[in-house]
Amino acid sequence: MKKLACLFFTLALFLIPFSVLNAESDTMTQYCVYDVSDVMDGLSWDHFDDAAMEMSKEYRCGVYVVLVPGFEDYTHFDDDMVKAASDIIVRNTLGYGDGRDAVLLLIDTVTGKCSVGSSGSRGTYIFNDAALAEFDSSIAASVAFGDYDSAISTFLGECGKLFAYEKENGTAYLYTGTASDAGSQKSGDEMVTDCVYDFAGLLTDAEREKLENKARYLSELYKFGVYIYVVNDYQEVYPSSDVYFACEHVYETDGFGYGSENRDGIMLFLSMDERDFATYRTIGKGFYAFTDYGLYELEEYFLGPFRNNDWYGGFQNYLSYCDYLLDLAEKGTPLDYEPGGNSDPTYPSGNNEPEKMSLEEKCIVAAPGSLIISLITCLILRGKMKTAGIKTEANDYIVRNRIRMHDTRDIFTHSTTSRTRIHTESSSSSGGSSSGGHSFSSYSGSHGGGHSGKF
Amino acid sequence: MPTQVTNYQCPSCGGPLRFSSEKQLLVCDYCGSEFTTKQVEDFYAAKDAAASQALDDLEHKLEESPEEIRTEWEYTGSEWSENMRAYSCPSCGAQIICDENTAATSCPYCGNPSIVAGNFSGGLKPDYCIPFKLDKDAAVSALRNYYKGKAFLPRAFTENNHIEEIKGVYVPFWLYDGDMAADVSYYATRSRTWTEGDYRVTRTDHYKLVRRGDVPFSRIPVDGSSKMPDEYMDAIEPFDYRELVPFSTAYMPGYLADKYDVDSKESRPRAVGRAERSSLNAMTATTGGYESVSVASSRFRLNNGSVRYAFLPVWLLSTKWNGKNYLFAMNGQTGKLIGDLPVSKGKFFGTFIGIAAAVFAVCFAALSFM
Repeated sequence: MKKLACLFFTLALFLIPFSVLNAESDTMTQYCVYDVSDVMDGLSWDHFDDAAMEMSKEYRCGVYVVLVPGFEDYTHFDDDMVKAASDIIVRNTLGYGDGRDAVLLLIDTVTGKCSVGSSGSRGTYIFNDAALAEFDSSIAASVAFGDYDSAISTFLGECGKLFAYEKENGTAYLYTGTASDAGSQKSGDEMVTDCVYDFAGLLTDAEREKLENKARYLSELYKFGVYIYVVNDYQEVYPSSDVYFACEHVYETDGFGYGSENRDGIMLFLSMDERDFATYRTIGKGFYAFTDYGLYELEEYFLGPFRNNDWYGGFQNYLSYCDYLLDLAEKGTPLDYEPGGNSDPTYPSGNNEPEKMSLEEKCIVAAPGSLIISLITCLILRGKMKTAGIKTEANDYIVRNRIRMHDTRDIFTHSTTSRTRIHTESSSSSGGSSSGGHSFSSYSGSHGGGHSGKF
Repeated sequence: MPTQVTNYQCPSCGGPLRFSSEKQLLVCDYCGSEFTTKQVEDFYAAKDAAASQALDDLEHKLEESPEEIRTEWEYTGSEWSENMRAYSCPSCGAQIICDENTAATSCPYCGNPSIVAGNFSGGLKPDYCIPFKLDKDAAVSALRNYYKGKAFLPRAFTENNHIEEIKGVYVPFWLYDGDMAADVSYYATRSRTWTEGDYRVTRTDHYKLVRRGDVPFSRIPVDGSSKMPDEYMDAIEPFDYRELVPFSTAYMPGYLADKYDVDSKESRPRAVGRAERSSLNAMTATTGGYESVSVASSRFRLNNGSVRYAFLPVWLLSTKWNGKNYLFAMNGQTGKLIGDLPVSKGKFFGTFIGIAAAVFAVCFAALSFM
């Protein structure tokens, strides 16, 4: 088996870029350990390959070990072994899933050197530069002494720790860059934008990075974009009558959303000058996970801190509650308070059956409309019986090409402003909002809906 | 006052000529000869010159022999009544009694088309006319087609319908030209709405719009006959003025014609009113981009106005049903036919109930499946 894996890898390297190693599986390659140098015994290889494969599948990120006699022959990065490790992942289409998420331990058995590289948004997020730096220090000694089993064992152990840390804490160990930085390093990424934009300067750099990491983690975990977008004046972003339309415009035109096709996601949009907020989620998965009721509940969580100018706290609450709602949706029980909530009909709901109308109600609804339609039709037909009539216009006799305009002026005279109180009854009946906002179910050119209001 | 009745006779056989709308020629139904209007006009001009010479000779002769008889072309009757006149038919000699405005008619005894030439002379001579393009059969056919698709038309009206009378009439029209100078101002608003807390705020910007311009009109028609219902003459518009030709009495034989009895001054307000409304519409069409636009003031002045007198072809068809007359008018050039039809109450309510029941059933079914 080990020989077969080595042969497979060697052939693949020389057939680049035409070889595809993951032909057997859509999500993962067939092997995780490739001993091209032939320095491992069969038992060790089996043991490490099984362990790496199991870990890869559990954490949805490929874990690889490649042993070669002189890494320069297998990559263009012959002067940078870390880049060479990442390059080998990409050039050999290793990695987990379409995102090619992976971490790879590259061992040069000739020079006794090693490096660890990563790829994919999730791979570079968990196995970030800081984390990889600790990797090198712990396994380099073993490699230098030719103890490859110890080095690989340590590598797999460290990988397991980082995976577990990320799972428990919701963020990667020692991650200092932004998630988008990591995402931009590889091809096939499902998230092409940052998750947190703070154009109003509400957050410190550290706060923004933590929120970005958390939002990106949620986005990748649920394959559903979770975004925060803060501006000073939404009118500068998109002149419109309501902040909601600016939110919708940003989402729809700036490439937000998870995946290139559905672009699923939710966005929280703040406009600080008038303290406006809006939420926008896409149809399909967005409407399923974030029902109207769920959306209002979500607003309750972040509006409280916002009203006290606790921006970071509000955003944290937003992300936490998004996590909660998305988790419920994953389990097939999205949060909804009543039958017939506006969960997307394309998703299973189970309790969205509208109440059936009684016979009398049907008659009451149908009868007036029928009579009116019939009366209008008959009056139109009756009008055709009388065709003689005095003409009051002479449009047929205007010489169109000779009309001359001598003066066309539009003079602004004054403005008037009226203020109308929005009835709170309508708000409560549509989901119990305390923010006095507006609900939007659709808008030209969009594929979602949401809510807006004040904080 | 008209003093003569002219009957265009065939230069070949002497039979009466009539204008054929199909051939656009004067034809003789007796010998089949066909003549252009110019040929007939030239023929009669020569004939008039000869007759004039003969009359001079006769007067000279009468001075010598006063007992000679009068000519058959002379106006024979005295005033018949206040609005009626009597003429003698040049074909059979019978007396024709008709309205003082009648300009072309036919003899009730011999059926020959006749023209009261005096009603086409001097200031009464039309400037233009549009010759008939559609004949009587086309008018009858158009009326039958007009009945089709009329849901409320009583079946008995269609089945027992007999056209009482059908006649082609050259209706006198005034055609008005002019440039309408329009000066219109408008109030206009444009607004936007947003929310502030628990309030919906609407800001409305107010504008005053000024529009001044000239709108030229060409040949607005107003019928100059009090006998023709205005709503019928308006409804058969428009005529295709590209086929206007200088007036000639040669187009008249075979049709009826009245000279105008509503002069151009009396008809002018109708033309001006129509031109003003269309000018206002033309100005309003330039005020796009506002939520609301209302007229604040408007002034109009007609410049370079002129009027022409024209005869336009109309087929009039009348039927009688249940003791009531129904009149239909068809544009003798374009074939557009209009007229009011009787409404069957039974069909009206039957259709009403039928549609209501059908819509109710569909709505009920839709609500049941929702």
